Amino acid sequence: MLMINNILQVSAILCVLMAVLLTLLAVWRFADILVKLVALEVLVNLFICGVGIWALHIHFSALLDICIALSLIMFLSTVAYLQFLVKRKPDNA
Amino acid sequence: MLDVFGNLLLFIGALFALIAAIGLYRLPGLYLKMHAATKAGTLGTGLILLGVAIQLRNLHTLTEVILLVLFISITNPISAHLIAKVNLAIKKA
Repeated sequence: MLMINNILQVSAILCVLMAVLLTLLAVWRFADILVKLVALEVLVNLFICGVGIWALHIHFSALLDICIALSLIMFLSTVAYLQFLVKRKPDNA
Repeated sequence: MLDVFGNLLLFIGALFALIAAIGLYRLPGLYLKMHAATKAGTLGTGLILLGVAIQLRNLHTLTEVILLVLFISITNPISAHLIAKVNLAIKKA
């Protein structure tokens, strides 16, 4: 039973790590700024997943406050950046 | 037994996060990328946090996780909708 738990937890951590690497590759590779914004949003979601797994690993539930702060910052910064993009004058007009 | 169930939820959530990252990297165009990132990413984060709450088993964690899942599942579609709207406005101008 303990071995099943360990295998599932380690494979979950590996999946999240591979997802973080792929998302960083997507941020680095695609040129469109909105695609970069979507990729950064996925990255923050993956950080929330990682902090959740960390809180499980050390049995310290106060780490989930970090998740709440991260999700708030994600939403507010996305909205603010989109407002900036809409109000900006097109530089190649 | 409950621990195995929580770890299974953790693993399925990590798999969904990996699927979101692969979809973000492979699918063409902003809208398809956003489709993969928003749906699979939200589900993956929610499942991982639910698995953490099942394993830690105290009231503080449960309340925080329920609030977090509610907040994420409200704000993630809103920001995706805003990104699509801004894409339309930028491409039209």
